[in-house]
Amino acid sequence: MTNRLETKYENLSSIFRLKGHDYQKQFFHLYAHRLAEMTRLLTPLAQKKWGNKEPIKKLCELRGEQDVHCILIGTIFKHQAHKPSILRDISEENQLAPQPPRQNYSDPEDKIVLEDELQRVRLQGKLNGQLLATGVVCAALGGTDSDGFFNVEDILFYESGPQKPLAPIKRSRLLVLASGLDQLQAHKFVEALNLFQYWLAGSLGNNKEAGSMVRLIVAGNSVRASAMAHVPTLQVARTQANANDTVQAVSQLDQWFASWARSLPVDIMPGPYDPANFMLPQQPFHKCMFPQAAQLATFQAVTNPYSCRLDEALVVGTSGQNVSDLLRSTSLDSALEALRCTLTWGHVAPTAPDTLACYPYIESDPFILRECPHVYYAGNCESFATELHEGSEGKRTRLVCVPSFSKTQSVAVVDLDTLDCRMVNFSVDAE
Amino acid sequence: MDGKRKFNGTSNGHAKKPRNPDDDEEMGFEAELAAFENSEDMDQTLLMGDGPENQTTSERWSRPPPPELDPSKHNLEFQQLDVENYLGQPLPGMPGAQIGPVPVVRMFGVTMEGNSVCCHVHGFCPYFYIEAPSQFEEHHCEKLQKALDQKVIADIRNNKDNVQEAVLMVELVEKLNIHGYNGDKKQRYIKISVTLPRFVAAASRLLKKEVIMSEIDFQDCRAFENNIDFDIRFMVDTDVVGCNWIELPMGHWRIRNSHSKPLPESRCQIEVDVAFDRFISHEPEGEWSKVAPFRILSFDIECAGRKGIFPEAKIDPVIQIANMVIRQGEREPFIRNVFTLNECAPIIGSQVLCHDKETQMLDKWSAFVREVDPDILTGYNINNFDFPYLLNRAAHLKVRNFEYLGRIKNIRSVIKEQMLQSKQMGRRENQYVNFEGRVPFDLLFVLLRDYKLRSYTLNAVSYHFLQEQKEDVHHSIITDLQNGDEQTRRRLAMYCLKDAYLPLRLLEKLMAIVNYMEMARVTGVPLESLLTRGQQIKVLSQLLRKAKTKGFIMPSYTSQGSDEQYEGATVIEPKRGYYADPISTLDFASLYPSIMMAHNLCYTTLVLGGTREKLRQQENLQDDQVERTPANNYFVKSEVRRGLLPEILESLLAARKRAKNDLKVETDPFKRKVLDGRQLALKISANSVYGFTGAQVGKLPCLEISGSVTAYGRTMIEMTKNEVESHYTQANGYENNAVVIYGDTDSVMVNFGVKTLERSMELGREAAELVSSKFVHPIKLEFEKVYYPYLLINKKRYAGLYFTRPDTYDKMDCKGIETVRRDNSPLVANLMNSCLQKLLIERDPDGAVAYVKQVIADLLCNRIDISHLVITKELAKTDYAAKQAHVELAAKMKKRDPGTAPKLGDRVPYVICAAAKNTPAYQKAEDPLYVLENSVPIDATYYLEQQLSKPLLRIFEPILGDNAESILLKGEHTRTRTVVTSKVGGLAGFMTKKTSCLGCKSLMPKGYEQACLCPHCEPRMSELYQKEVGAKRELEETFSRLWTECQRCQESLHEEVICSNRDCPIFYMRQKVRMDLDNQEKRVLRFGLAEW
Repeated sequence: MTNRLETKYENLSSIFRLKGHDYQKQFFHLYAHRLAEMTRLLTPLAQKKWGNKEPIKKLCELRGEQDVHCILIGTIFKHQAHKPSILRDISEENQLAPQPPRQNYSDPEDKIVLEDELQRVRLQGKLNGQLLATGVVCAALGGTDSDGFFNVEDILFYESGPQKPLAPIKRSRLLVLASGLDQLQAHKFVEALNLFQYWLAGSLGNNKEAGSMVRLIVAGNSVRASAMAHVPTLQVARTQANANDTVQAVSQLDQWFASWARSLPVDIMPGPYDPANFMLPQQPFHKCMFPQAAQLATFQAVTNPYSCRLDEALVVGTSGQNVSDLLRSTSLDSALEALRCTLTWGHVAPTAPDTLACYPYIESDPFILRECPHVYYAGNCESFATELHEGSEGKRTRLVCVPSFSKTQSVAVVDLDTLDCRMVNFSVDAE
Repeated sequence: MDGKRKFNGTSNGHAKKPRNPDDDEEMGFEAELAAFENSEDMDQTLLMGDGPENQTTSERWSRPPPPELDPSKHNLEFQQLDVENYLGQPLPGMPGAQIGPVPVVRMFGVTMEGNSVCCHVHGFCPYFYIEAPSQFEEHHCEKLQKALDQKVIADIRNNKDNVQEAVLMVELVEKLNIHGYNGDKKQRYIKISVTLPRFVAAASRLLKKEVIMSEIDFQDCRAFENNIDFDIRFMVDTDVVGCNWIELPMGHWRIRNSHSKPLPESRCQIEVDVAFDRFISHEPEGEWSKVAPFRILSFDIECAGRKGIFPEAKIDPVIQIANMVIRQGEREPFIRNVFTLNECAPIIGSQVLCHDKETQMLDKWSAFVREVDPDILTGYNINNFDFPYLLNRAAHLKVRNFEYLGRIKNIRSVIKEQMLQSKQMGRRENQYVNFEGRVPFDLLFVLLRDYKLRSYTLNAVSYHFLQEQKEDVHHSIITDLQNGDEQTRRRLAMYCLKDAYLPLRLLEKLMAIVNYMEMARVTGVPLESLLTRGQQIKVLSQLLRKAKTKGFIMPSYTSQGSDEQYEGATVIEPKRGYYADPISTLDFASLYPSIMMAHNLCYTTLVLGGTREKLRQQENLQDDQVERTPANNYFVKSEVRRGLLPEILESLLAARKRAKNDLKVETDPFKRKVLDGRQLALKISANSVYGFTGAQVGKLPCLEISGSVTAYGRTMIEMTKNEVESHYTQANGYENNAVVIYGDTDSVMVNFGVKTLERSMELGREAAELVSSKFVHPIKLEFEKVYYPYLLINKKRYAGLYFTRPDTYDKMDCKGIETVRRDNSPLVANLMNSCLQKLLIERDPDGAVAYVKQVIADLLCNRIDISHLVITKELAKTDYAAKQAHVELAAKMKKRDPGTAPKLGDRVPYVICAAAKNTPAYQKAEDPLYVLENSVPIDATYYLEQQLSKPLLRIFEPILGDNAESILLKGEHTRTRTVVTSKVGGLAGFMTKKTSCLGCKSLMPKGYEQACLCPHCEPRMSELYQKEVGAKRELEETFSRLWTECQRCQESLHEEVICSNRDCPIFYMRQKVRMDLDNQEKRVLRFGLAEW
């Protein structure tokens, strides 16, 4: 057995655990809390950037006056004609010629609106609406005109909270990020999975790094990586006869996870298509699904999003829903760019709940990035991508697009001391 | 001041008579005259007053300032939008009667610069004709004029207008009678001109009933054109059509201002006088098809209500009035404001005008209307609710000057009741308010007239045409919002503004204004007539114009309610079935117009029974100059006389061709809309000419024409069938013997027996040309489409996939199938649509059968979402003859909670619930929310037997034959049923809940009460957990999609969704998914928390 480095671990995801479930609530609570907290965080930043000369106003204070120059803080809403709509889906006229779902519904004709607690105003001017998303809270500097528009001259985001410095420890501690194991399709890449297992155990001949690997996070879509075939019926929710394949896949995963957890601590996140609940935050898998692995102290199921601290390094990530939804609703070019945007916007999942399903919180918004992470990842991306993002006040964040293992046979490895990151490929062809 | 009189003792004018749609039904002359005179009396006291002057409070609201105009140097051009007449005084220098009172025509319109115009047209006199007795000569004219004048004046009930001259002129003229061919020799008629429009009926009546001149008897003389509206008469004679441009040439008109005599009477910016023979009326083509920037005001009111009571004007205040004003041709309103009672927070992009008192708000709004000076008033149901409510409320509060909403300063807007009957709208009681110079254009009227919808609520309409839902706030919440603070009133104002904006968007989407304007232009009637009159006025207007150019006059017809019935358009008996091969459709282009043109069918060409022999002798009419129709009527051929109706049709269709050609090269989007509206108006007008002749209670019914048209149509369909079936045979070298499987009024469906679309289209085109060559020009059979596959259910009931090109289908075409019946539950429409999709698009009859079975099994096992089972009906009255489900339910709900129960005018949604055997359906109706909250079981058998059975069998009998019923409704899939346990009801109190195994549903044994699985199922825990969590994730996705849709719809992310729009298809879905999700959460939690 390879000798492993000891690392202090703290699970910070209690904020994502749902204590009770109340579906009699609506989504406006979540928006209101997001706006309130972000306003509190943005106000000093706006004053610092633009000075005290320009007043920070509520929209209801713009009493139809013209040429008022001020700062507004509010939530972005994009009116997009092609946004998925359940009304349009069930419209009688549309039934006769079903439209295929659009991969991207961002359009130059989209209307950008800023809304605070009570009112909304159309935005125009120096902002690219196609790069913004519904649900983002920002501060906007500008003025009103006679047509009821607000002309934006500059815009400010929260850029996530403060960051604790990393201690200058001179040792190599590696975090392994994997996603998209897609056990349902595992017969196509079982050799790569075997290589991955050997690598984790330190059994590959030349692997001297095994001893430095302190944690493995599996970021979703472990059981399946695509949706079940959807049979349209008149029912709102028809219980599918459970596919035996999925049960077999879960059982197979249990063996993999038990084996890996003997080498290092393993955290399993639910993903977009896994047998877990649908809304963010996805709750951890139930113990009964992984009876063998559950007996090991080094194995645990965690939420999505997931937040933990390894020594001083704050690690935050998702199984990728936030990034893929942003790519659908904006004209952002890549998953890495979308991931960076959520960091600079200070919010893990800004399009929740509008186009990204999420629980109707009534007392808080757990997705606000109140502390700037050192490692920030999204799972189930098409390919590996990474960047060291340097924010204001010396903040450094390693952004990681964790590739889907079933598509790339690859994982990401992050050095928690240097924040370096690289991809490790286990394709058999690569041998 | 009421009843104000000018010094000279005569009134300053009065409102035009409300355009009574009953004019389309012939009234007895005496009853008509009595109603007219009574109306006069009422008008005088109620309509006249002392109106306020215009105010200018906002540059944004007011029209641009008018230019300085000098009649001796300038032409004046305006697009007229309204034509009416009033009694006024003769103007010196104008033609016509010189002793008052006289009728004056008023035209209201807008210049291209956006200035409003009121133009008084002088000198046009009403008149009618009677046959001249054989002994009547020129020298009798003066005598008749004097004698009739005395009689009419003596007949006046009360001469408060001090009429001194009634009959202006009597002339002997030569004209032709439009009804029946009698050769080309003109006959003598007496033209009688009178001084007032109402004297036409009086003089006609007196001529018929009294001895006017001792030496000549007029009592048997037929009257002609004595029941034509004065406005229509004026427009026909001066070539004015609806919404066309009027030009007043320099030197021929006078301007009214503060120095002129007479003084201005209107609120229009430009007020002028002109003689009826001195202005130019431009035909609306080319340059003159342009549209002035007239103003459309759309508004909506909100009233505070009491719990459970519909607002009443004498009690419940108006709390908000939202307004949107748009200029025709522009995309966005340039005025958006809302008048509110009490403080309201500002709204960005809209103006908020707050008032402490309701009287102040109403007064300000009335002044706003006068200042904005709209040409068209619109909204949703403003005729029957918003306007009457405002007027009644203002009267109750004694708001001074509120009722002066029209363009004539001293005329009040007054509510009148009227009964409107037409084929499209049925019989309907409506309220009507006069707004001189402004056209009320209620969007609800447009929809009721032109569209067949399952629901006419603004919610359903906006969903149908815009695919958008409208937030709906219940009456009780409206009052709470009003009684809150400035922010809650702002919330209500946002809602009110949307309701004012939505009619504008719908009018734009439907192109209603443009289409109606072009219809007014094509048919020559005022714009307002299109909304308040039936169809006949449009054809009558065109017929009068054409008759005038040819010297014809039209007899007045008194309906006798003839017992004679002509044979309607029958069809070729359908060969019912599901045709998997392509079916070619051959259609006659504009069949009825073509027949009338081809065979010269017209009033003027009809050889009336008994006159043939006389015509042969006197007019030398040969047999080969007369054509006998299949209905055994006779018409002279076009070389003898070209009929007026064929000429009208020719010009309509030629104009349509020109409009379509112009449309091809026009690039301006708004002009394209005008051209498209015009070609559509021309098409509709051509098709309505036939209907005019067939209307038995009409201006000029002529069953000989309408019967002959349908008889020709029938004959042509038969000929087409015979020709096609005899030509396309294997013996003649074709693939198969062609079979005509169906024929309707103007189309024939042919099964050529070929397998490919290309070949069926080729044969279709060939057959169309072959058959067309057998008919008289311009009758033309066209190939247009192929149905592939084709489901032929019965006469006028079919469905097919519609191809005009071989590569892809254009649409699914359905006729006579219950997808839009408004009293069906959505289950029927959805199931029918899905079946048709499987049958036609997927070409899978077996799949369709399997799908139906699955849905029926789902229904019987309670797996159909309740939103598909909701039936909705309007609570229109409470004294139905038979007990009605929705009425009984409304009463039941009122006992539970009077505050939220439906009230008169509301739509009542309900589902039919299970009950004891033989319980009548009206007692099984229940509120869907109550059903959801209390898990009341649905009566699935009702839906299967009363809602689904007939539509399903109708569709599937052509496919499955006589076995359809046993296969679909009685198979294995109907034997399993699931009954939910009710939380309310007689037995619910006695039930004790026991836990069951989530795996096998058996009761949990002792010692396992707290567990989720029984010992037998415990080894499958992982599998069963995945199943339950899988169900939960589906519900979570649905919950998110539904509630974010509602959040988006109300256009506020940060405020609670308070919508109570039960017409919205997702209203019940969103309630149900909450409950389902709660239940599913409990099931998942029984596995214990996922603690690690």
